[in-house]
Amino acid sequence: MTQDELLLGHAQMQADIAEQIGIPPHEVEPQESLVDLGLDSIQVMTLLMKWGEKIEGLDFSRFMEAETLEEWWAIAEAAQTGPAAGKAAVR
Amino acid sequence: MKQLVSQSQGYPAAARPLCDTQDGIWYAQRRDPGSPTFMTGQALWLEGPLDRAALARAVDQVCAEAECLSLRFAETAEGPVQWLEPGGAPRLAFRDLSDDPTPEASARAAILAEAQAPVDLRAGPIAGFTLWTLAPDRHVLSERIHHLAADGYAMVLITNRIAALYNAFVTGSPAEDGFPPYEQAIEAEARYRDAPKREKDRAYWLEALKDLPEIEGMAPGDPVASAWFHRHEVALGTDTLERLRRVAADTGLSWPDVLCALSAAYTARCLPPVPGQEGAPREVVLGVPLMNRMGSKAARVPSTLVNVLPLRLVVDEEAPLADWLKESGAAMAALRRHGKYRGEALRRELGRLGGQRRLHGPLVNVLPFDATPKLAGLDSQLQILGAGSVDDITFCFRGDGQSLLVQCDANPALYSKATTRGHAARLAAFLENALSADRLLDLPTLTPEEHQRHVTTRNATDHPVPETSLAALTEAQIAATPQAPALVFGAETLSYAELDRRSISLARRLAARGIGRGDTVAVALPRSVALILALQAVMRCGAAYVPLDPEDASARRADMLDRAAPKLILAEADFDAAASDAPVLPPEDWDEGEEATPEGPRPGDPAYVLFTSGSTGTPKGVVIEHGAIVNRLLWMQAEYGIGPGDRVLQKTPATFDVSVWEFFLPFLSGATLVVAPPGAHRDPVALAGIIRDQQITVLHFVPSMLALFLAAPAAKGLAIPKVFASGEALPVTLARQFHQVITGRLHNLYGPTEAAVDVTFREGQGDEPGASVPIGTPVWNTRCYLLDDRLRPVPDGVTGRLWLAGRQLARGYLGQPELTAERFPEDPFDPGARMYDTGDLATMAPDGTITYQGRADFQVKIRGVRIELGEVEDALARTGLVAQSAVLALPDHAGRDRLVAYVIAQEGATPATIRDALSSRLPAMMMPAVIVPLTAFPLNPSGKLDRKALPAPQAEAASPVRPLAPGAESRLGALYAEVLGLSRVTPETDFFAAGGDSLMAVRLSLRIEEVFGSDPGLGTLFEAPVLCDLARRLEQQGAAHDDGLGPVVQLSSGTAGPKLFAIHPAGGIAWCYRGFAAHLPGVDLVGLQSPLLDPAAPLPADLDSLARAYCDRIEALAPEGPLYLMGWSLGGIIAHAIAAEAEARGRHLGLLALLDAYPSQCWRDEPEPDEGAAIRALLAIAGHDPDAYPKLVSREDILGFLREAGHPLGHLPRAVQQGVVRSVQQTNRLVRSHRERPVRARVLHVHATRDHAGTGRSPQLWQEHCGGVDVLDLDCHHSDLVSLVQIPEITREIRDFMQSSREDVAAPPQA
Repeated sequence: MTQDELLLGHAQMQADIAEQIGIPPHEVEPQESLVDLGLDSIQVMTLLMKWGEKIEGLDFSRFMEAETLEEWWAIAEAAQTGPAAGKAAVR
Repeated sequence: MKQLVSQSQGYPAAARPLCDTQDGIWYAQRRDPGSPTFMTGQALWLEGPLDRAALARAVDQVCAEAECLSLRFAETAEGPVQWLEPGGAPRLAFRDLSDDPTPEASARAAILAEAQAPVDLRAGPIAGFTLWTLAPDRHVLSERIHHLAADGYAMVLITNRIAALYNAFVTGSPAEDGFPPYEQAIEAEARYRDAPKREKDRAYWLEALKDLPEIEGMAPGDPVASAWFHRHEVALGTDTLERLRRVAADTGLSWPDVLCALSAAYTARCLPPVPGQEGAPREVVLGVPLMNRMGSKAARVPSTLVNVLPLRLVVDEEAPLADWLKESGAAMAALRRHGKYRGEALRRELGRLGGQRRLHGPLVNVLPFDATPKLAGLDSQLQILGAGSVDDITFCFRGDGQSLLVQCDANPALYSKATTRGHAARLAAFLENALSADRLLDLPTLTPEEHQRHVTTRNATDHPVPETSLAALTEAQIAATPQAPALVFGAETLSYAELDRRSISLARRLAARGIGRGDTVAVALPRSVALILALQAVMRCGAAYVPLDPEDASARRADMLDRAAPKLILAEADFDAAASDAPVLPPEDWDEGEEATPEGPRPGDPAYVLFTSGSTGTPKGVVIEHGAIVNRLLWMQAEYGIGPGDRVLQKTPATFDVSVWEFFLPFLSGATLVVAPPGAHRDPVALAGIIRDQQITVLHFVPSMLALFLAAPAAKGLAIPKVFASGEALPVTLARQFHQVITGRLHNLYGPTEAAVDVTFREGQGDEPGASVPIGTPVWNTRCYLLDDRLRPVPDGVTGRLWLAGRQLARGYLGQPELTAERFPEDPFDPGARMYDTGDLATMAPDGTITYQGRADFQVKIRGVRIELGEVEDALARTGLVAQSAVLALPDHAGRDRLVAYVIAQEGATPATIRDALSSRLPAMMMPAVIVPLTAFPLNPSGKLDRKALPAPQAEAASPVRPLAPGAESRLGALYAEVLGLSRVTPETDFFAAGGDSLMAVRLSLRIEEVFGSDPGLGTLFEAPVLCDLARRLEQQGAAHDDGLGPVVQLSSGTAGPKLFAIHPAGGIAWCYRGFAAHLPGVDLVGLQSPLLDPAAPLPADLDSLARAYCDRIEALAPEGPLYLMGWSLGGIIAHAIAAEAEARGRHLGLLALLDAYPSQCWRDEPEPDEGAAIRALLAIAGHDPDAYPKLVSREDILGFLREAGHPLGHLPRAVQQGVVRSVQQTNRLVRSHRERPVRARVLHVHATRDHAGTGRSPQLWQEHCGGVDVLDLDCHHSDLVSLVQIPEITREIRDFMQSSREDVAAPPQA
């Protein structure tokens, strides 16, 4: 499965985060601290609710633990391609 | 990480200090060790077939994974520590309630009881899990964890993990990874502590909070943590949730932020009014708990990380709501970006440690992550039991996206159950309304039901009262009982008929002078029959009387006369009418002149004009009509059954409105008026005599006078059926005292002069909750409203401004229509009627009872008399001697309010000249008790006078500060001085005001335990931080009385650590080493004191025999292992002699520390101190440099100085003082004949370098008497070595020595 075939892609995540904070997507640099960018835990929750509609098994606390988009992407990607990926909702 | 304690003390080697996240909880728990409020708890109710074995397995596995559940905590002298106790996690407990007739109710009660049980933090376990079986398919899993180990989110993590493991076990699917190690939380904190971001965050906060105002609460009183809390929950409807989402989407805020901002707006509605800020946007400072987990490796670690930070929001009710929400959202985002900086650190740095100095008001906690965990095959429901301490009030929103619960937790010390319920319901209603409002201004505070209750139900006081006048009522009574006694003054008694004859006679003469309806007559007579006749006559002729103080000849009285423009003055012949045109008619001329038939008053005519203090500088004349005062008097007659047989004492000056019912009620009810002689109202003994002799049944006291009266032995046992108190708040303690002293009933009345004396009433039983007896509920035909700045009724329990309406309102202020219009505006709840702004603050209880809470402006009451501070300031300005002034009412040392004037004097003016000039302008009751000259006034950041920063008036203090009393106070004084590092303490020293913080408080409490033998507990110290109070409590607790003068004095808490013996210096007392104990953790510091302190003890032959005796004592206490010795000054020589003796006995020396001691050869040729010099040595023993006080020579001078300095030596019994002098002389004698024996051990010499230049005294002189000298040079004086400044340096060296010696000799406990 390539990235384009995933239900939640990297670019989509970046755009969604940017929308939550209210900044252009390119300012969400993959290695920037999301807290310093102004993202709060409620927004994380909102994002996960949105993404949870596309894929199952996204663990809120894992996202909380991660500091950057890069780390978030690793979690999201694993959820879609790893052993538990069978749970991904089929659309 | 720094290791603090060793195995030998019972702590594991891995114990480490608490995290910043835990400190605040620790100290709060330490203050109240038995309180369960720091237990976080929840219960998961489970319906369906439960696999109990699988759940037990899941819980046990979580207990193993969540390391925080194995934490243990202990206190050390260096501060609290924590460690992970192997095998220290709890096990799941099982309780079967299936045989219980009401299993559910029993389980609820038992789970709550479990949640409220405190835990032993040191012994553990600090968490617990219980599975309750209610029925085969009904269970509850209860969980409890101390807040030091887990915050609310940690609880969620743990519960969710239990559910996940259970599901994995029962479905046979694999479970995900467990929790990261606890260490990860500690590391995350350490990383932040060293990160540049922390400094940036700190700078942000200090800037953001630099002008943080004093935090006001929604309920009056200081927020002091209680053991538990009231809770009320209200679920918000789904349509509200829908609207909340829409508002959030429209404003770009998250829904939790919308809730938080609106909660701030609600809070603003519940804050007490600020004088001078009416109608201005209100700032609210909320406490906002942040999870403090996002983007952190600690995010998934069960631990306590939550951080409460202050959120400042200015609530602009007039702005479009969406705009204001956006602004608030930005403030919340900024807070979060700096959300790692600890709230506890801010409290410390800003001195906002609690009580009235706190960092924030109500907590608003939005928890959107509270989805109930799902267990396979079961229905579950989550119940939150406790989530940490509730100091004030916490609004918690729990939601999972589908539903939302408003949970209001409140401190029972501040909020009743009903008030808590009210806040929860009202906040829910406020939110629902706000979510469809355009502006906050349009929202009511109260629900419609509450509004109806406040405005109408509680004011349903309609009662028929005839439209008549005092004159008509009195005349009716005269006709009914002409022969009854009406008036008694001294030996004179007038019947009603005589009263009638003499008063109508004067009234007719007044009428003949053309005086009648609409006129005023001034009355300035002392208490007498003439005074009563004058008032009756003025009233009967139809005029209004204006009482004036016959003894007040100030410019103020002249002004009143001028404005009242009386037609006549009834006064003694020598009355100074100043510029008034009115003639003076003295009593001796009353029987002369023409007579005419008086017309008499009508109900709408003025009955009297009373002047009260005015804030603009001139007194205001309050005009009361007959209809108003008739309502008041007939109500009182009916309410208290006053009638024939009652004897009413008249003792209130006529210028004070209480006198009005004393003067007139008896004559319209058939009672007898007994007039007290002039001056008697101030003399408790004379009053008691009159009450007893005249069989008084009704009288009035201002509470401060009642307190004086009850304190007089003559009052004891009096029977007075009806006693009325008004004019000031009536303290509950005073009401209680009343019932102990007097047989009778006590009634608390309240009312301003502007509403015909009193408008509310309530009996004082002395068992009321709170500090003062409520002022009660309204009298007949009277309405009371508690309103906010925008004239909206405030909720029950919330402070509002008290407005009055109804029949008793005054006509207004004489000749001041504008002021009248301002203070008597239209009643918004009763169109066409007026209401009056009392300027008083009050609260209403859910039963409608009103309690007075203070003033909304600068009016004060001194001994019951209303005084506008502005009027006194104006009078000061008019003296021309003062450039600027501020007058305050401040309590004196006995707690009674008096006026204090702060002035910036014009050149040449002094407090004395100002006082002289002022006395011709003000009556005595308005004169400041103290005038404090200042060169400048303290200003607050906005440039206004900062009244709170004015210095306490000490220059003119009536009584000088007394020295410390012998006994507990002196001993405690020494500890205050030691812990606070003060050179002088007084009985009034307040531990916290003098710089004490929580850590120092813990230290003080440990030291008190050492010295007094019992620990008063931090709670006691926080309750009674003033030295003399705490000393009294310690005495009451029956603390062991160790005078600290025995041969051995315990200087630290006597743990199992190695003993370090500190040998007394010349004076024989070893107290000077006390300060060392705190810096020698794990060392048992023991002082050896001289037997010579006991005057009966024999004199030792030489120093070596003394040393042998000491060595015996030491060996008895430390039978094996190396010996550790230290001695300051001559104590060093003795320590060395003991060391020689010990080595001769085969003991090994682990430490021989000589603090600025020099061998005996240095002293051999010095003269022995005579008695004078020996006494002066007391100064040195007390830590003062004797050379600095050459004038202190005599014993009395020196002891007096030490007492004043707060040093316990000043309070030693005389025999012991003799013993000290004897010890100084004898020790010096012994030293001079001493020859040092060699010691093998090395000496640690602490050298005070400033005192020995040119004397030949040098540390190296010890070289020939020991195995080598290590020198610590300190740039200080000899006496400084036992001061708190040098002790840390010295003890560091001592610790190192002791440590290395232990490593040499014994195997270290940990390699």
